Amino acid sequence: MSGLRAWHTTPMSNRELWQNALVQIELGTSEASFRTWFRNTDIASRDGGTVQVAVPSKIVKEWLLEKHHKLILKALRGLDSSIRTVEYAVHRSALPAEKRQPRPAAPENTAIDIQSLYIDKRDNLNPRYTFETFVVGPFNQLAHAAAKAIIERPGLSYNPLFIYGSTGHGKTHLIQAVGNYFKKAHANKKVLYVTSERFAIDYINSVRAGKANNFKDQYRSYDVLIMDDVQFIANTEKTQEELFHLFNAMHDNNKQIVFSSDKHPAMLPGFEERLKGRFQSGMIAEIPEPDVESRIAIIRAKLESHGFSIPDDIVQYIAENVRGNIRELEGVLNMIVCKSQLKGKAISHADVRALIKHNVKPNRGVSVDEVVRRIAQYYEVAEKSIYEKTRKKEVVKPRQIIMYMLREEFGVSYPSIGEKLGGRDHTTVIHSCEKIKEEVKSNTSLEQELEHIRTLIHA
Amino acid sequence: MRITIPKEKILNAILLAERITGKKETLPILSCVLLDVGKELSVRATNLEAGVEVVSQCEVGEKGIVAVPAGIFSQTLRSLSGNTVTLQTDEGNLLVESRGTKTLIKAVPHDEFPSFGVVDGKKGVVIGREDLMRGIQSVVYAASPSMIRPELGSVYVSIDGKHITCVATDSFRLAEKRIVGVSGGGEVELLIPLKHALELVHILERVSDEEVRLSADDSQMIVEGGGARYVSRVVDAVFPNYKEIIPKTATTEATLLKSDFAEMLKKARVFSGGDQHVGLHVYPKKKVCSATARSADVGEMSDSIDAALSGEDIDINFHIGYLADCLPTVASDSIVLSFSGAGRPLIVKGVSDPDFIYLVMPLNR
Repeated sequence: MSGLRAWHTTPMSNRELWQNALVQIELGTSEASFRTWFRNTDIASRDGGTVQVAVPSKIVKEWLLEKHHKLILKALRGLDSSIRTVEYAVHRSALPAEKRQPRPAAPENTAIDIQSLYIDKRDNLNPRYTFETFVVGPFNQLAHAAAKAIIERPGLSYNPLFIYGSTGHGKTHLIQAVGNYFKKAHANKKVLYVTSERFAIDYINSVRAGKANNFKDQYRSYDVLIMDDVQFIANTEKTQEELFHLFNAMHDNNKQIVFSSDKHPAMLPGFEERLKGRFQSGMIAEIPEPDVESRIAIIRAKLESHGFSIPDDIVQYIAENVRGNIRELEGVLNMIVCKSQLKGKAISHADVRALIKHNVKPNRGVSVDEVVRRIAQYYEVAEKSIYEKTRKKEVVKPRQIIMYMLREEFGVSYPSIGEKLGGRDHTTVIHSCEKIKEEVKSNTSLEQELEHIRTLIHA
Repeated sequence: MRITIPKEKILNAILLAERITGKKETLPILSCVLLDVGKELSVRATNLEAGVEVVSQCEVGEKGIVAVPAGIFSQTLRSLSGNTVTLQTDEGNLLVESRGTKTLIKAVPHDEFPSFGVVDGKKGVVIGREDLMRGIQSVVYAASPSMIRPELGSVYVSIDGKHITCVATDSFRLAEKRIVGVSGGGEVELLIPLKHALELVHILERVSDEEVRLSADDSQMIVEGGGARYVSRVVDAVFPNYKEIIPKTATTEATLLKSDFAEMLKKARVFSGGDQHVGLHVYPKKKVCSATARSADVGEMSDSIDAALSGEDIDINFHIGYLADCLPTVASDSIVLSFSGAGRPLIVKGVSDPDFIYLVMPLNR
């Protein structure tokens, strides 16, 4: 096995690890016993040398612990020698998948709006968002670790925690999970999840009612404050000032604060410098776009929660073709689940392809002319001067930015960028790209410009 | 192993256990009952999701353990004519003797029989057996038959000091039963999957003790009493804050006899067609309370009953099954239907029964 392991450049995913272990376990047990006790099991988590195996019931847990523990440990250690201990946990996701289609609910019957009932009115937390349901992958590892760190030592390790990333990448899930964890672990702690918009409305209402002091007292009484989508209170001078004072009061008392936003705090337009400074004083973690492997893991988790399964090659296909936003991914999955329930049979590769084709915006190709036109327009220089040999300062910068954008955003090769921009040498292009890359690190206004340009060229 | 036991006693124990055995399990031991004789006889069965143990007094000749297929054993016992049965192991198999009948049942190796349901310490609450049974029975029909949303496919049971609250909803209707003045005490909150809730009721009906002890953790619950112990998986999920959707005020109210209403629905059901639709029409000013049903294939009907009415006129359609389901559980003879307008839920309550509330959503046309 060790010879084989050498070929794995990346560590095995939990699923692979368990599948491989099961192959060995099957050899060590009778068929009937294997099918009874190892059905619907999986690895729930892996943390250093400890592997947690998810089992469908406590009876199975006790049996595995008593009768098959050695075999399981041996099989797992044979695959990964860093594994030291194996634990068993009864897991919701390990429940037997439902084979029978449930009787279709009367579609014309009004349903109770159950979804909104889960939200606890006292703290606005939705209990469905927990760490257990949060899929951790390389893309959100940092943010997840930071969140885990603050629940270990609230108010002390990283205060505030600032999570940022595009819409649909899981910010809200993560920060609500923090809140739910606190709620569960410390019954005496008061947690509040609030969107910045709600905060602003609360503040305005309290001022209008002449009860600004009540507002202050109320917010200061929380032990953990979680504010989502902080970018929405841009340009609200008084609300920001209130937040600033609230922040100071909480921070001084070592009470944990968590923020989320769609941009890095330094990039937030319409915020006072002192508030931005506060945002940046703790830990900042980005949740970027999920990579393919993480998307596969997310798809599997979502399918499990639907009690639905589709072949691995289709999962792979979806992960590769539905890029970006996790919400989009969820939408496609819902359509697939729905379609297959309607048809009453498993969905085929061709069906999925057709669904995705019709519902997902394709990754648009690039027209160099278009990029040049938009960036030239942005900097208000003549489009054709970009292609000319001029070295005027006001043209050189846009030209370098065009090269940088073509390279970074669209992955055009250096020589072809050079060729298309008036027959320049590829080394010139490399130099330009490096230069912008360096400058962006120290020059925040440039970074903002680039951000604007990005939205322009992707529009 | 060798024991002598009244036939009724062992048959009852086996019948309870037989229901829990795994029907389609790959492991033969799971379709067996385990007979474990120590000071008394313990009969156990499990299908891995749930397990049951029934302890009975008997005359012990010799201790021992044996596992036999549940179906064969129960059929054998049923066909015996004697009043007492002697059970003993014979070269690992089970010999059943009763007034001249001798049966030898092939046993299954019992070391594969899983253990289940260890209670940790003295945790848990002691509650009235009937209270718990009545609470679950009053709401269980409203749970969803599907486990896709585990919390909706379960019965929510919350016990705090003096009350038991049982709730179930499939998102189209919701039933809540509160039982006050509960004996015992302690706090516990759990979600019992529908099929285990039904099984629990079945067992509670057959247990003799007045009180049972219920303990639960995140993954399982244990109910013990009267020599029986039932262990089942529970759902680790959050039950919706259902109280929010119960309307506080009504726009139209009708107070009527439960039997009249049930009779009216019975008449309507014949004509409610495949969709099972029934229309309720309440016009307080004209003093009319009627139901209509129409099916393209069968025909149509309308029926009106006497009722005390107040509020605004309303015409509203329901799934007839959803309306009728709750009636057997309403304790009082008169019921109040509280409407809160088109597209809004209807509340059904007993006039003298503040502890049961049933909410049903209308059809949206």
